[in-house]
Amino acid sequence: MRLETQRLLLRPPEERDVDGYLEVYSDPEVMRFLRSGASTRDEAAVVVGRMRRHWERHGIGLFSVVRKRDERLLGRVGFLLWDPGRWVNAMREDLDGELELEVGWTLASEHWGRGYATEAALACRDLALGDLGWKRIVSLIDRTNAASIRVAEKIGETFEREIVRPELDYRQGLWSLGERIDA
Amino acid sequence: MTPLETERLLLRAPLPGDAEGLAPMYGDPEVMRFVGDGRTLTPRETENSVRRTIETWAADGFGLFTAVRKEDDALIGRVGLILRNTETWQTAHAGETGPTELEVGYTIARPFWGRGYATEAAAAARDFGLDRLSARRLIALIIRGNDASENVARKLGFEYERDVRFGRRNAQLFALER
Repeated sequence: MRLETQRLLLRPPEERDVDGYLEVYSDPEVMRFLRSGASTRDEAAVVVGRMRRHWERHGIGLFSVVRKRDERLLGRVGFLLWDPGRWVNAMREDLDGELELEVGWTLASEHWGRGYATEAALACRDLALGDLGWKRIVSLIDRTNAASIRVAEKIGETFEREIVRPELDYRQGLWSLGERIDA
Repeated sequence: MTPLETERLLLRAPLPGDAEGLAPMYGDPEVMRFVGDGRTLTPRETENSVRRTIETWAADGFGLFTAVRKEDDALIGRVGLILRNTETWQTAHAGETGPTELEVGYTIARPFWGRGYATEAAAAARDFGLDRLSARRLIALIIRGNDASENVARKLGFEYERDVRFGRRNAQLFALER
């Protein structure tokens, strides 16, 4: 599966993306808001492997975001499935049953502020609510992550509630578009 | 937002009526010497500041708390969390791009100085930032010469990192990382 926007190409992660992801995950501005990253090439390869596994198991996942003009890897944007009872995602565990679909975005900080995350996330939102047939999307965002909250609002999500991710023992805000499953 | 409770204090979300109780603090040159640009605020400016803080809470889900002493309901100051743009050090909100830092800020009215209230309240604000907002890093911006505030920051576990330009003045950036 591939998506193309005005400036970006979104495609599933490949082995050759590992170095690009190492750059993204060793960016301290990025890691302020991510709980698991990679500080070595081996760790970056593990992350790429998890993303690929999510694609294999579920047919959707996080895309590598490549800038068309120079083929530079900017980060990842796309889909991540969550167990809404425990707030564990499908890159950590094999999940079944009724799941929430997250549209998520992580770009290296040097590419922030140019609308890339919004451009890629809009394409993912449209795919999810269109061809993929989902009625609702969510995004899990730190309450102090102003830049990401802006992207959520631009794709039409609004703050719904605070959730706790018990396995990591921290709280995040849940932004959503579409009606709550258990409501 | 459930208020935070400490031994002697209640930190609650701001209410419009707080402006009246806070006006003497913001009009006190001795307090304001080390706050913002060092200027005192008129009662009208204090009202605006409280109103903006209420809006910040509504938009972001966090902000400055009003600190109330439990024994007599006295408003002793404002303490809480302020998101700042790291280039201008102005306040930032959801709706801005670019890197931010989360500041623990504390301003206590003069009649309540010297009793450890700032430390008690700021410690609760720090924990709110770390536990409720899942912040991995907090900062305190302290104008050089503000020894009382610097002591509070150090007691809370913050360490001096560098100097930054804060408006027309230099501030010391203290940081705490978990």
